[in-house]
Amino acid sequence: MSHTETLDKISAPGSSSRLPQWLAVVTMIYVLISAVSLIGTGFKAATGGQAQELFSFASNPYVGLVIGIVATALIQSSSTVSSLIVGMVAGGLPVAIAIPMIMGSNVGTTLTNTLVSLGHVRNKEEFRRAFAAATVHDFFNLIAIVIFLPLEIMFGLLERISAAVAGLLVGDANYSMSGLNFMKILTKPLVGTLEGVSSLLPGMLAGLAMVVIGLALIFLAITWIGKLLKVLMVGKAKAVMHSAIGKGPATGIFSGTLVTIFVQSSSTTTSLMVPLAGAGTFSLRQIYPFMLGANIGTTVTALLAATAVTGAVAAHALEIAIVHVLFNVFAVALIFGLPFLRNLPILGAEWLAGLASERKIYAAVWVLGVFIVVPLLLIAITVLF
Amino acid sequence: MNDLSRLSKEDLKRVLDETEGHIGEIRAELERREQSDQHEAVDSLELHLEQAQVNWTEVKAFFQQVLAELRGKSK
Repeated sequence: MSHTETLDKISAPGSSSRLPQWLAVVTMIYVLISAVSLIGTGFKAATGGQAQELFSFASNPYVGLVIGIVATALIQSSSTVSSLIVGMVAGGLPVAIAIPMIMGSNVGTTLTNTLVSLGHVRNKEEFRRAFAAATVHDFFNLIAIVIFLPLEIMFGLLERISAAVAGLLVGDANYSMSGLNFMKILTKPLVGTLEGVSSLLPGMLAGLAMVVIGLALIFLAITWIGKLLKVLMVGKAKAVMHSAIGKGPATGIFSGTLVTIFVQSSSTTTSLMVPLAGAGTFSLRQIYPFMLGANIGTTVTALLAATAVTGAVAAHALEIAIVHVLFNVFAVALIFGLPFLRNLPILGAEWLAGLASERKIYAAVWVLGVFIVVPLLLIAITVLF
Repeated sequence: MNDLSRLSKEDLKRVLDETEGHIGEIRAELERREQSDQHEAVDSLELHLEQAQVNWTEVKAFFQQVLAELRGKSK
């Protein structure tokens, strides 16, 4: 029996019978928020408050970018990595160092739908369509980085805007209700227990243990939230997608955003479109806006993670979550908004898919090159020179 | 072509208008069928969500095909 069938078996039609599943979602959100808080504490302990010095190697934005790409490609979840980054910022990682990592996670997450497309290799035309559908997302995210990373290095645009917005929302206080440290009180039972367990280890190891436990819990929580919401929200997702059929690209972007928020996973949303494109049901131009919407929808998770952070660093945690939102919104607005840029990802995807359908080695080189070889080479060059 | 050359200008314009009308109808029918297929695919969303996962067996088979392709090329 599949996971979906197992989760669905618990429920019967009717919202009250889905109560156990919704309670499970709330529980997993609680675990997620607690885990982010734990990572913040653990990271601070592990780095002894010297995060900026210890992570000076990542002050080179290309190193940060590569860390984001490789970490997300390996974990296959941009939500997990972005939540981890929020926790690390709460633990003292400078926002300026975290921004390229967030950008890198956008690229790393596209590995999933690219791997899904490889399953269509037996039929040449199907593979060509599926691979193009997957790599249009790759090309878009790479173009976004080519434009926005240099801008960020030169002007700190995203950092400045997000700092201003976070400052307005949070200031020096956390965004708890009525001045009470609501989130801290809420997460204390679980976080306190895990901190206690970790403190059995000496010194820095205790901090590292908290980070590792926190990361594992984030991954589990996000995975389970995704599985549960896939069942709970499939009806709403269907309604959104039905309403988007036959409408323009703006509706496509909006529906991609909503569906991704519903299922809490851009990998799921974008991977969903690959077989549909492979079958020829949706054209590349039709799924392209949907993929972009997924980029925006997935930023909700980092915002949720930022609610875990209290105290003086709350603004910084919110700042990096807002950077995630702004980067994706600006990228869509600019690249999709400008006619001469809009078609570049489609042209790139069609060209590459044409090559790959004739000779599979091109697909293999793309997958291994973009997500593993080139990032690691960049790190090696940075370290050596 | 010979038939067309016998038609008057007004008849040619009429044929052109009718043809453009037919093309419009064909396009509309194609779009209707395409959207019908898309609605049908969305109705099976649960199934597609199940399939929207990495199948590592397929990924392995893909890379085996790549290796076979390279070996075939090198012979």
